[in-house]
Amino acid sequence: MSIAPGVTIEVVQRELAVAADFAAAAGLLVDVGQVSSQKPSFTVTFQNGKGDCFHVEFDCQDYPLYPPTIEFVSGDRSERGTARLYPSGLHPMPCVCMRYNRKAYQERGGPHGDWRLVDWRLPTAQGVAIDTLAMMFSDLESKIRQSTGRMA
Amino acid sequence: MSARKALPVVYLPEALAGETAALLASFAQRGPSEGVVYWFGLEFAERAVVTTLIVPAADTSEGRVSTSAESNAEAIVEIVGTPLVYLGQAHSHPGWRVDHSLVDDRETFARFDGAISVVVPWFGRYGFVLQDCGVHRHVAGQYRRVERVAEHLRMIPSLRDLRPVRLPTQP
Repeated sequence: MSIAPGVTIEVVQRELAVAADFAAAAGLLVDVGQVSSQKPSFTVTFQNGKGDCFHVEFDCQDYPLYPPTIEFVSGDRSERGTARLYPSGLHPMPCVCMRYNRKAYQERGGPHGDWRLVDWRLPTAQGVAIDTLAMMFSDLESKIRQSTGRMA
Repeated sequence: MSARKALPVVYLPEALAGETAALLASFAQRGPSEGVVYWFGLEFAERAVVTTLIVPAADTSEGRVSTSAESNAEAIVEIVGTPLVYLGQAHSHPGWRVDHSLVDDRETFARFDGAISVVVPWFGRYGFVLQDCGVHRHVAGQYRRVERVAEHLRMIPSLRDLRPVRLPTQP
């Protein structure tokens, strides 16, 4: 099952407009230069408490039916998914091990065989649902802010 | 730290614990901000029960939460004329650290002996998991983090439906 690219890009752009408030408050750099209906992806630059930068790509293909694929990339985008691009404290796969990351699902090679992609908007454990780009920014920001270095 | 007999154990219904966490998480939707929820309830000699949550009109403009005398007064006004008393508060921290900061010790609104102050990690986003929270009690003029949490704060059920087969509730 897939979703029309026009729907995805409209939802992504609408949610990015809301997430811009969070990004501005948190000092995040959102690069939407690549966003198009053919390639609905963008990157966000976060910092940890020591000022180290981490670049995160959100590939929103088929969003919001499915969550984005979230991957750490190098500043020049030439390297992706390696441990040294990840902050310490995340899943050692390496992976953002949350329902809002398509990479976390076993059917996409991730650790979670107990989650279903279509249920990605469900709250984790007793918590709140992380089901918008703004909430994803917020969750990642607090995780990365707490990290003290890189995974490798 | 052990409980003094004079300090009632605070009982927190599960539903209000979850609601506390959700309210704290709501502070972090537009920016990376801590949040605060005041707990009110009924107090008896050895027990107190949280019955009511009040979110003060807090200033979160710098990512930390602070409340003015006016906003605290507004919260108290809500319980005037009821048997409820102010028991303490929960506030959130951005990460997993749940110790009171010096600012928390100094500026928490509830600063009376017996007041309870719970720090919820990760902005409350992952719910109210008691073993992950930092529970502090105001004793002899200052806050101290308690080790034997059950002597100070305990969860109680809010609802149990024990029917083997349940029909969906009407909207």
